[in-house]
Amino acid sequence: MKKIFKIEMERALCGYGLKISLAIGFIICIVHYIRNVIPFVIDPLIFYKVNTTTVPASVFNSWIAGGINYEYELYIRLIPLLATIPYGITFYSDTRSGIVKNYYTRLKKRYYLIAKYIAVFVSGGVAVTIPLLVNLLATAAVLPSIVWPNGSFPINANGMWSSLFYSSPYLYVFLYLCLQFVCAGCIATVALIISSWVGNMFVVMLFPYILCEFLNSVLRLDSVIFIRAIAPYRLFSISQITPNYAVSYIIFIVAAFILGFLFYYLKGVKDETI
Amino acid sequence: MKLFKRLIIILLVVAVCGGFVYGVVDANTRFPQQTKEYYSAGEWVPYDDSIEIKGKKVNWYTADEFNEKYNKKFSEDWHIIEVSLLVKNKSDKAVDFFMCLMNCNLVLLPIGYENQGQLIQEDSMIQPHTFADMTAYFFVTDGLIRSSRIDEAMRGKFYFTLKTYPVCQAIVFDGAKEVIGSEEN
Repeated sequence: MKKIFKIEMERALCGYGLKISLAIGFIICIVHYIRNVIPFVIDPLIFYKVNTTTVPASVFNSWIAGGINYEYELYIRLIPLLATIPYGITFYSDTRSGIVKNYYTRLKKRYYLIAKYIAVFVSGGVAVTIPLLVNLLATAAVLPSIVWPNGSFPINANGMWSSLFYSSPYLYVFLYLCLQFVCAGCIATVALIISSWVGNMFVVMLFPYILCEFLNSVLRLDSVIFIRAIAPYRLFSISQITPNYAVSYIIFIVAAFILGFLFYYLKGVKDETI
Repeated sequence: MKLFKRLIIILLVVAVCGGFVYGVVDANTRFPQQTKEYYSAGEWVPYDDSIEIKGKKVNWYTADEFNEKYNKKFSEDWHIIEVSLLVKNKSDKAVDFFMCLMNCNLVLLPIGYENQGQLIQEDSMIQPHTFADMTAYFFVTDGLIRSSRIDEAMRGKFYFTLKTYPVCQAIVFDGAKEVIGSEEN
């Protein structure tokens, strides 16, 4: 198990897929930095007025996930793709090319399936969270870490963990990045689930993206507030312009794991590949 | 060659980390965290050269209660926070308190509610060397605090914030419906 896990992680984290995904993420984050952070670095007091409730430009409303901006909207929409590109299609390609037979003859089938699942999950999470983390650190290096509820910060009293944001904002961001890691990992594993059912690599790669867009369109019509909040464009948003709910995350993550277990793991174990 | 490559990478990493630490320290030295200047209800707050403000009490109303008390017609789904203040004009000129209120906000922590208020009094002018009772009110709609968090909000701290940076000057009330001090004129 250890050996296959090591091989899969190495393939996932050293492959071109992750580099391409990170490159796309970094390009978006750099564009955001140039357009939205640099102007505040030049003049951090641009919106500040003495003897009012305004504050100088802060990390927490200037970094990419600190408010409404075009780049973050684009990033959120691309998360399913960014998470899938690194390693999501390899189960399909391994099966099609026959590599999987080499594994199955040398070790237990379930070891390979578990190792693949973890590798896809981790690579998806890494591809999505690293550019955000770098953007946060780069912004923190040039702007002060001031926070006070005055309407210029994106999290209001309805937001999930809003209390944490206004007491320990870095902890809030760290926890949200962890949550983002898990969600991105879950969405990457959707490609594994679909791999056994379709016969085209591009369908495997694009399916998580299409599924997310479908959920975005359909769930926003729901009358139940936390079901509406399962729409991926809301789940993936750290800024919480529209508030998120813990129960929505739980439903999303549990559903992803159950579907993964049923349609990837159980089906994979039962499939007669050799 | 391999050693040289490693050395270059290590140097780069050290340079980036050093730059990051320097940047964080520099940014937060130029703009440090706010100095807290909190006053409790009943204390006089020197707002500027002409005005001093004393927080008296905070009341939390449902819209129905508020509409009945002040003869208003706000949506019945709303809640309204009423902040009673006593304002002293120390200067030789009349002061419009509404202009002052426009630069203040009410903050509820820890949940992070924030809103700007309006005045009950139609006449917000305070004559020289006089006191005036002023009542500000702040809307709480479902979009600002959903109904399931209202109790948590009411138990929190209410910051009537006058200034935020570099000194965070605020009158702090421990929960709603607190009544401290009496009207002075």
